[in-house]
Amino acid sequence: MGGGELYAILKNLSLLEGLFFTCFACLLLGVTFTFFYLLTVNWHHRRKKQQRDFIEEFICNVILESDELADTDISIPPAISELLTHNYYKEFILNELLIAKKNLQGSAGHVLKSLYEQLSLNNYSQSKLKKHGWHHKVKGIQELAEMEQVSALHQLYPLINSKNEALRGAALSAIVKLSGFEGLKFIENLSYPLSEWLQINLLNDLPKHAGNHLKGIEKWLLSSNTSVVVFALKLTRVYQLFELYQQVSDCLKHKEEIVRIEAVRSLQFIYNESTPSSLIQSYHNQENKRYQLIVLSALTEMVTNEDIPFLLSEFKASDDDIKLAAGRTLLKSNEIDLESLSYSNLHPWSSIIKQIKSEVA
Amino acid sequence: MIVVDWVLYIIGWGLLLYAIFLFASYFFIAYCSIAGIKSYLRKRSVTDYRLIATSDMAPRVSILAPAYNEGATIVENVRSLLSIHYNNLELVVINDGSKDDSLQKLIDTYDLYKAEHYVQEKIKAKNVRGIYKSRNPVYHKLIVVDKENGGKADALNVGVNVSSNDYILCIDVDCILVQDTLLKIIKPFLESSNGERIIASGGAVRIANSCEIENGRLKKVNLPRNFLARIQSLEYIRAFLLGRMAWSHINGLLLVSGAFGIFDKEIVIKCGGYNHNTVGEDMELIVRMRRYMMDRKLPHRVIYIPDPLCWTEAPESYEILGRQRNRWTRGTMEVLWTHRRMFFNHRYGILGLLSLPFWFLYEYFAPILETIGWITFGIIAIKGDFLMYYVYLIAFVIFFNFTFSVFAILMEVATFNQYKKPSEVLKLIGTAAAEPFVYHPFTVWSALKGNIDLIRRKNSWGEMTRKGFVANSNGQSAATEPKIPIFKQLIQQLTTAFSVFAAISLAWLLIIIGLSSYEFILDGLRHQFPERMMDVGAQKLFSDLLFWLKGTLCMCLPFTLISFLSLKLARTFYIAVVTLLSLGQLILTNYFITALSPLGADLYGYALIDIKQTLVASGSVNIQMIVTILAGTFVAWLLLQAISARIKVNRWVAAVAPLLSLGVLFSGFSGIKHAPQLEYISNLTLNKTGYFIGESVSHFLPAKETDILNAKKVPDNFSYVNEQQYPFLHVDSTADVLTPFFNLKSEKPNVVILLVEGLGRAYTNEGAYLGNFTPFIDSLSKQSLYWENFLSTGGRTFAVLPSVLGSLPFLEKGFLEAGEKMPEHLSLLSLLKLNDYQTSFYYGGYSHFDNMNTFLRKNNIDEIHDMGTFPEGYTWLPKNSEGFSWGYNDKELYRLYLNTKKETTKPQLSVLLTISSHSPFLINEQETYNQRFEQRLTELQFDEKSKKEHRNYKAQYTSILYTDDAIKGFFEGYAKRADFNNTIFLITGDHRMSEIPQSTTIDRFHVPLIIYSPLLKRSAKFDAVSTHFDITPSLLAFLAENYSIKKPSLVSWIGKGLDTTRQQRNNHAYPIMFTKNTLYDFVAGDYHLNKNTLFKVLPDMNEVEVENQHITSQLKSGFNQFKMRNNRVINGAKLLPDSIYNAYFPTKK
Repeated sequence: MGGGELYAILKNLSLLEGLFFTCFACLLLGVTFTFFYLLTVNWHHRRKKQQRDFIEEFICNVILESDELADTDISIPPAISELLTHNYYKEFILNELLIAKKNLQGSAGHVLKSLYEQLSLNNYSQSKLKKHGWHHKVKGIQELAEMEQVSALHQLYPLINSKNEALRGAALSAIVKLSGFEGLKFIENLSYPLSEWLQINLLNDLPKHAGNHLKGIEKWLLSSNTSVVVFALKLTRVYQLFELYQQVSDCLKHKEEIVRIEAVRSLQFIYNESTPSSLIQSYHNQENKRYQLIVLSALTEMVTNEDIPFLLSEFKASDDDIKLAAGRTLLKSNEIDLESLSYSNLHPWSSIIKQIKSEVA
Repeated sequence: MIVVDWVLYIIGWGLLLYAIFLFASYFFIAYCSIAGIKSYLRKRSVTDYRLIATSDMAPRVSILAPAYNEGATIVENVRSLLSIHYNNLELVVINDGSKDDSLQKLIDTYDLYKAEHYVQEKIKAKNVRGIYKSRNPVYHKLIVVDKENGGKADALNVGVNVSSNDYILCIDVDCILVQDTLLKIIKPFLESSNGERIIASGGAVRIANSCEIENGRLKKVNLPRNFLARIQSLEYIRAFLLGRMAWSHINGLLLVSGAFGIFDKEIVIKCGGYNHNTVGEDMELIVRMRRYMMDRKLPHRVIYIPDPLCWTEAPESYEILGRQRNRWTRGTMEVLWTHRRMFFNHRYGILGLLSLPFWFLYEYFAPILETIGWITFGIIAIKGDFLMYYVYLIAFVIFFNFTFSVFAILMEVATFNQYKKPSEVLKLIGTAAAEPFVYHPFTVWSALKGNIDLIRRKNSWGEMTRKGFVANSNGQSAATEPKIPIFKQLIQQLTTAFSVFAAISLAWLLIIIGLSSYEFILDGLRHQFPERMMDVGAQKLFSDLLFWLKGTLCMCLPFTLISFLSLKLARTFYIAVVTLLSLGQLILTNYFITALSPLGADLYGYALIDIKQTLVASGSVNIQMIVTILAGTFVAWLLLQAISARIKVNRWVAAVAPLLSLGVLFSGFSGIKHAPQLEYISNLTLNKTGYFIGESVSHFLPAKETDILNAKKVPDNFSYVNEQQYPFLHVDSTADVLTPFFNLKSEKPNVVILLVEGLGRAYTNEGAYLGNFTPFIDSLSKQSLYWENFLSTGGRTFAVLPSVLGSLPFLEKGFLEAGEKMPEHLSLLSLLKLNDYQTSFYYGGYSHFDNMNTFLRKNNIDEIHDMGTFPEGYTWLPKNSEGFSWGYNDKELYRLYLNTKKETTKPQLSVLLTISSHSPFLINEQETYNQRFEQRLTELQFDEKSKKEHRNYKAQYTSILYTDDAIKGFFEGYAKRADFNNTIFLITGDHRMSEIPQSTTIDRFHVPLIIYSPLLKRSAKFDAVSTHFDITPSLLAFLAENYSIKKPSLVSWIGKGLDTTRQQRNNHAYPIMFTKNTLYDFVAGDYHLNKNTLFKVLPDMNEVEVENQHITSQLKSGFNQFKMRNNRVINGAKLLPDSIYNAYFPTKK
């Protein structure tokens, strides 16, 4: 069918027919494009496999020779330099370096950092901070942080107030990673919440031992930002900051349940002889079952004789979860033989006692 | 536009709007899913999930895995779940009362012991028989719960009761989870920081068929080799990657897959856990959780992760897949119904305003609407109206769906890229192309079945047989799959189906032969066996064989299609259809034996009450007949079942057989050529069911007629004045042919018209080929003007009044059938009344039959005397075995007339319609007329053979004799009146009796016309052909000429006037309506056209079939012209202008 004939046919179409034809043609174009794209996308990926293998081998060799390469410039093969002119391979090399750096410490990590700088990938990472999409910026921040680019800190500070949650989280995490506890000072005046995910990241990024570097937590425990209080409580737990016991104990009266719960958890790690009574007192002030269970669980580590009457009364509570938690704590106390209780043969105590005894066994 | 057209029109527009909204929603889904996936992938690229795995701060999760009869694979599956990389994890496997050794295998493998564990029933569930934990600290995360069987929902509820962590991940135990599944799916719960609580999260489920599995871990992803599993892969990509992602993005997600989803346990418990009263428990829980949160105005979200985190086995057989889809449909409807209060309820935000309505309209209702659409398309295709638009729409819908599937494949490759090989991508695209034709109809069918089961309150899961992941010799597992290639599978399935089809078809053939023999023998016994018995028998057999061939060909395609779903269903369907056809054949055979003409579309022209009356009157519908028919049908069904099960037809032979049918039918072979034969014999050899079906199809789907303006004009010598507005209006040019035969008085003569039921020329008057059984009418004809080659205009009584008295067209089903909507018209009755005649109608039955009274009333008749107005002292016709009688016999009718019709100075027009010679032919003085019949046979000098043949129709002939006698009595009585000498009598039959076999087609309409009067100068016999249409024009012309009666110059008569030529000729061209739904006959000149068959009319009104294309075309053209005019009146055109009607209609009572 020639063009002229096709034109003649098209010219004679009614409006509805024309509409159908147009939509049909658009869909056909879409399908054709998709078809060819699908066929070629993996082909390109497969075509670059050889180059990728080469890069992996190069990095492996660098790692293996890291002891010899420390404090010296690494010899960069021309092929690598050539590949670095393409963004695809630049990104690939960068990712490989990051993966290796995350898993390796010591001289190997140091050499990888050198290689990163030698290949000018730090500039590449920094250029991402200027890109439009937040994901580029976050990637750049993570790269700079992982590769210990302290010089980039000044670029990160403005980002901790970004509207984008992922961006400010990445910036804060990177600052903490690069400057340790010092970086935590920025959470003092945070106006946005710290998600649990960010808290996990920060805790992971912080050094394993605080020493004398962890300062200012007492202020954070009084923050109006609930998530900051929670994070501070976690810090007291992780770093066992006994000196903050009173402030933590005061948090048992906080208006937010999540703070109270976190305070109980923290007190498990920094408790003293008055802790059980504080917990029991707060227990009575709360009717929240979840809180009560956490308190009962926390008492397991610190229970004394004086606490037994309380536990016995809770062992007879109407809620079976409370019974179970109280029973566990009673058993752990070794102060009382549960089977000697008058109701120990009654349901559900008989089953509960058997269960918690088997857990211990 | 008739009602059916309106309904189709509305459905068509409705479907179009639905499609437009559907496409718009697809675009919306595509847009939202792109946005959602983009956002997720960006976040994922910057997330280190390993932190969650090792962090003490990570949420505590319990995996709940219900298991039922999973003994073959449970050990591996649990091992796979225990290897999940997550710190704060507990695995709860719930053995839901398995009947196999699932529990024992777990005990043995994982060193389990029955632990003391207090199960708090936070959610009510079936009894727990025991809790098992492992002695091996490596498996410290594992808890196995053994419980009474209660179903998946109940098992999960038990898992909730037993679990000790805050989040529950509910999965199917045989699902394969990738290593970082938990890390990815729990992360959304950690990210919530704006007060919005994440209550549930789900991930993409993918198809694991043909994938390489090693030690319970997914090693390599392959596209399923099984066609069905592959289509489901595509379906899952569309549903999970596009649909769910879009809904999650706008926080309108209603569903987290039951195979894989994580929930906030606290909310689950507060909601009451899984509902075990529904098979859609996964969706129901999410909707209930969301409703709980919304009722308390608690901000929340349900998240969907597009990452392929869970791999499961898809059904590879239609049977199991059908059960699954059936269950999904039932589950969907149960959930939507349970939460119906949320529909369009603004309290529930996007869920109530968008998600639920969308789910109902496009997930649940779509298969139902699609089925309606296809049925509509079928009707449209047959009717032909708007066909191309429907074809465009369907083609566009199919292609759009294909495009959407390709887009989904594009998204998959561009994002998670599980199928990397080009061949796999190509296969997916090919699958997308095949889906609308192969897979989609099946899912629609399963959904419809689901609805049926729902109505039947079926609430089981059905057996979901799984093959499991079986290890090969390398320790690798691959999902088991059939070894037979799909193409061979298809061929096998087809040939098996053909084999079964052929067996049933052969059984049907035997039944047809049996029914054919039954009809032949019964007819012979009731009436007479045909002379050339073998010849006629062979004709009949061939006719039935041809019907069987056509029938099997029509049934072949639906049978084959249904067999893909279920061979058993296809078999049941075919047997049911054949049984029904056999029942139909028995009914139609019995009808034919009684009426001696096959039942066609005339059935649809009668009201139910009329049909009932006719059946009861005939006396043929009795217990004996009903029992015979039902017994016959039952026997047919039994034979079908028994014979078809025993016949084994080679599958390849069976596959070829339908092609043979096609070949025979296409060759145009229509039966054995035979010599010209009686119409009755032709009817006897017809296959009655095939005839009825063919006539019905023609009735409901008539062939399009050409437009009147474009029809080739055949001159009918009428001067039409305005064919557009008044199709029949023409200048009245009827010649007065009667005056030369009359000595007229100054007073206007009385006119008495006797319309005699069933008075056919075949047995009336001298020269009747069946013998003259009307001696009186015969003698009268010799003193009358006698047209011996006269034709009625209908094959039944419905046509006689409007044709004789008004020369009126037939409209759709006879003029009378229009009832109150009869177009305004003038007739002999109204015009003579205008001219001071007293008009009256006398009938021995009820005049409402066939709307006769309506017609008479609309002609402002002065008197109607019928069964309802007969005074006491008159005798009915004898009642039949059912206690029915048509009414008063003819002698009583005439007696009433003579007693009530007083002689006056006013001229009278009286119309009398008889009933005695109507089925069941029961007459008073039966014995007398039986003797008269025997006597007449002798008088007519019949040989014994002829006598014997006539005795087969004794009832009919005796009724004719009776009728003739009654007319004799009438004339004897009338002759005593003073006005006898100024009366003109017309006697004609409404049609020929059908219960005596006809010799030709035209024989049915061959009746005599006698015009007798003392005013006649002389008698005359005319051989020229005239019809009922010609009576009124000629009478009026006669009366106008001699008595100056007022009549219009523009008329709408069909007839041109009586032809008083002695030699046989026919200068008319008229249609004849055989029954209310069959307008097949057209007589013009020397020819008679019946459907597409041309007959040449011979001098004695016999006829022979001829072939002459030119003449056939001419007659068809003339016939079409009439039909066009007739249709215009049916569609609202008038017969007469108001001016004429108002001027000539007698308004005074």
